Amino acid sequence: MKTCFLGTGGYVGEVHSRAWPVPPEQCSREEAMRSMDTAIRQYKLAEEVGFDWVSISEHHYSPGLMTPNPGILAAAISQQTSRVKIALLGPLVPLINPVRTAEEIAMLDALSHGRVVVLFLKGTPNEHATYGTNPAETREITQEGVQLIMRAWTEPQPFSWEGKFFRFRTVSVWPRTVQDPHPPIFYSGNSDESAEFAGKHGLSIAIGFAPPPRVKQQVDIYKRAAREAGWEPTHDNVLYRGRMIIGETDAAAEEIANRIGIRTGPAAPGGGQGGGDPTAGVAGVQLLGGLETVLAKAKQLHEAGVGILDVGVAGGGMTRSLELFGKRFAPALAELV
Amino acid sequence: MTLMDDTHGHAAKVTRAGDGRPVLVLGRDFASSAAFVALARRFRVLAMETAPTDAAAWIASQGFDKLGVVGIGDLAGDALTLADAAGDAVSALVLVSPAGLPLGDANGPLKPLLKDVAAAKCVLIGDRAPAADALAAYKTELSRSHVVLVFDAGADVAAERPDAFASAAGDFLDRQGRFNFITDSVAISA
Repeated sequence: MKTCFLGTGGYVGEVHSRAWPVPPEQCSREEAMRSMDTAIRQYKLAEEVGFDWVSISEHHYSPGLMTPNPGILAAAISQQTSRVKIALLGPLVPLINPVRTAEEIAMLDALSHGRVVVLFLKGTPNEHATYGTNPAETREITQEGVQLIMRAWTEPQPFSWEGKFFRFRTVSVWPRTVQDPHPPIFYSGNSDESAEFAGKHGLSIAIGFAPPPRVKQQVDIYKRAAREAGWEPTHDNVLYRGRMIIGETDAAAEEIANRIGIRTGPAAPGGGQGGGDPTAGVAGVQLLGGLETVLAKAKQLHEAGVGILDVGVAGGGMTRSLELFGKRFAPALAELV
Repeated sequence: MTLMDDTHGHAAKVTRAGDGRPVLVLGRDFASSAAFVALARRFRVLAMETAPTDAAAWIASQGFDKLGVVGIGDLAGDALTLADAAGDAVSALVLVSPAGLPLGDANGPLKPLLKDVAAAKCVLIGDRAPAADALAAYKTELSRSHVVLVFDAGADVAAERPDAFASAAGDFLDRQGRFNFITDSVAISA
């Protein structure tokens, strides 16, 4: 099982508001700079302690994740690391120009010497309010945009695109991606429809924050669609995103969780934006406990079909958590599955 | 309005609609389609299922100096032949979901026309059509050509996405070489 460090590029200064959007006046210009330096240090450390991948998300107007353009941070990371896969998880297709994004990711693939992985998403409701996207159209926009990007990466000759949401008179992307035919593409596996879309189009899937039985259910839907399309996904085609607090013991991990005031347990797929376990919150920690406990949870996810564990490591200090993860958890996980 | 044209002994059924620059469309059942209505919002459309025997004479007889030509499906080859015969009178040629063009190793009487027809050409292909896998062949084997991939369409772009057909074909008929390709060096590539 591969491991992926979910970095946040989060604001390291004090923020007084938890609403969205957070007024820019609360952002210290100095702390903004320090936040980016901190993020880069964490990503470098993630590579040093043994993570296989690092990931960067796209979010807007938020101090929690200051990465409205994940490609910019990814470009910086690509110059500070040499081994880890760099996963853009992901560009929000309804908010972007797909051809421009195809060009930028191709640049990033060259900058990183072919280490890019990408997950295309439709975004959350607050993000649809960012640039005035119609929420009712986001699924269709995302599906069309992904197919346009795949064409932009694979067509050897210039072409035009006459879509329903996108119209380009000339598409002829330079540079080509280093990876042939293109970087691995993930798609949301949180809903039945998106899992089916991914299977049908030969994409990998990412499932967020769900309990293992729900993960298995989505993976089954995905695999069925893939089989109907004539191919067989493996564990490497399924990424799970969750939060992790790992301590020396269960009690130590619980103490960290209590101290920083976050709840535990799975949320619904997609971060708890509908359905799911009502006792679990968006801020839940899906992988919490001592080494053995967290390993057992990871094994459950692996048995549900997961091959890549994308985890945000919370509590107890990032450096200490990452080092514990690298020295103890990662080798044990590699041995287990 | 449907009229019977008797051109040099050749009876051809022509259905006309719209105003503006003339566009001849060769396509089966096109005159009764939504695509016909959509294209006629911008052009004076003449729809036929059989190409005039003497293209140049027919165009002159209609009083046109120049006209655009659209060939749909298995009539794309007839549109190519017509454009070859009419020479400069054809300002632009649009081939929509073309069937039967001799690409790659295929041969036939149309083969030399792929290179010889002088008019600027545009090919519309549905992204779900098998031909979408050979997009580059149209671009490289048809001279002065450009390919438009029409999203969410299969083997019959005009029937499946009539507005997209009218939009892409219409823009090309209007702008031709200025549609999207520049043949000379530009500052960034000089």
